[in-house]
Amino acid sequence: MSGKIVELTVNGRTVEEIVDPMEPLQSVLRNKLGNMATKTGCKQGGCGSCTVLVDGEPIVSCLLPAEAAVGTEITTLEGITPDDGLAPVQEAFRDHFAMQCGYCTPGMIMTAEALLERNPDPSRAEIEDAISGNVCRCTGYDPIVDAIEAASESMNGQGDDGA
Amino acid sequence: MTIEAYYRPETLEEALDLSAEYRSSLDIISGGTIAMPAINEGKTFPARVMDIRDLDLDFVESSNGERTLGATLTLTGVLEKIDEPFLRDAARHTGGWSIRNMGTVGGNLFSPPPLGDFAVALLALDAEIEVQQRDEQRWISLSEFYAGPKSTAIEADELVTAVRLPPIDGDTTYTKYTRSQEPARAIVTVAVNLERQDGVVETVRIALNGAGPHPVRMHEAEDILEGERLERDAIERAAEAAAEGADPPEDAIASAWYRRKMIRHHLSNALCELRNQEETK
Ligand SMILES: Cc1cc2nc3c(=O)[nH]c(=O)nc-3n(C[C@H](O)[C@H](O)[C@H](O)COP(=O)(O)OP(=O)(O)OC[C@H]3O[C@@H](n4cnc5c(N)ncnc54)[C@H](O)[C@@H]3O)c2cc1C
Repeated sequence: MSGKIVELTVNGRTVEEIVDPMEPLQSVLRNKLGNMATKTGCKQGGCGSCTVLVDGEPIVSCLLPAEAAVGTEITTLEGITPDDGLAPVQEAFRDHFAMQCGYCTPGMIMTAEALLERNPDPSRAEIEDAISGNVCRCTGYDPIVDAIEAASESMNGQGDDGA
Repeated sequence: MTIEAYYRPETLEEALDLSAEYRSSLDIISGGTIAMPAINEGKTFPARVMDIRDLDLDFVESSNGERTLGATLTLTGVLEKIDEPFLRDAARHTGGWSIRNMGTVGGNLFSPPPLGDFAVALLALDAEIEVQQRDEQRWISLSEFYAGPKSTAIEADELVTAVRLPPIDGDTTYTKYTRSQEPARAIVTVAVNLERQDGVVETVRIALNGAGPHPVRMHEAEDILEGERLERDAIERAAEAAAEGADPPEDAIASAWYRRKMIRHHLSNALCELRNQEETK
């Protein structure tokens, strides 16, 4: 085994870690750096539960060799969660019961963050399209779309009617 | 078994040297969205892998209507840098957002059936690909590149570095038919580029995905249409010929029988759509 020390910037902090050749970023984030929000899912890029942002773009971290992420800004759910509470998207997910088992939630939220960053006022169709690579087997998706819609409204200062 | 080495060359020279040295014992990864799932699943155990993401091949160049796309341009890159609707359609239907952020134009050429939803559009446009090895550079047509099931016309020490598209003349249409909401594997993807003169078909290129071991041109159907008006009878005969000539893959999403039915149906629809479109001069 020929491990190699690489420097990764995760949630604004630069860390050094020993990675194996082609070891997926997902495994490094979760198993070595303790970012437990980055779930181990299908490892095929198909479920989206390991979605993180690389330079602001959502990617499935199971398909990216960790070494290929050197020199980028990696953001996980931990990175968007304020020390003293929840980010607007997280609050909206809670308020709209947008999770049951919660397994898909971190990936969903990272995709939603990236969407709202680019498009602060997305339509429901645009939300559905953005999260179409994130699989949820519990909610039937509607509450998730509601939550992202509400988050966009609250972030735009229009308030949330909680409906 | 573990991967011994993961190379990340920064220049094409370095990359071609590695290819020349290790040939088929060196696996290539571009966006990794095909290669990584296979490795994660334990379907492939490469000894050495070369990642070509740092080669600065993610460009788009245009001159005189001709476009050249670098091999590592991502599908998101296509959407950001190209405003041509047919190419955008194809990029848009290749995977979901995160996959488009990673998957590349070059990688799509190598995707196993029924994948290849971007490549099928390139085939309809009669694209050429640039192939390089240490001592040689050549252009081959995409049709030649697809040499047969699971084989391409490039050697183990060669890399695809770019795709060149001639100016797009006439009308185009792109349809990806899937069973469920996208992103999903294609049942069939239809890409057509057709030129007419006063309503008569002069040239037509019909490329289908989900109709063979890789995206394929339907020459028989094309021959039926050339010299004809796009009328019901010619359209039906062409769609029938394509369905008969196809050798569709079979998977959990669709049987070969069903794909054949859908090829006929969706090619016929695509041609009707072109018939109803104003002819572009
Ligand atoms: C969840 C999911 C959904 C998907 N959906 C679709 C879809 O809807 N439609 C579709 O068409 N595809 C789909 N794909 C497949 C894949 O994402 C695309 O085909 C993509 O374009 C592949 O590009 P890549 O750069 O990621 O390939 P890679 O995995 O990097 O490369 C695949 C293989 O191609 C060869 N290769 C790549 N580039 C070169 C080069 N420049 N020179 C020589 N050899 C090379 C190598 O042998 C390599 O192993 C999907 C994949 C996933 C995981």
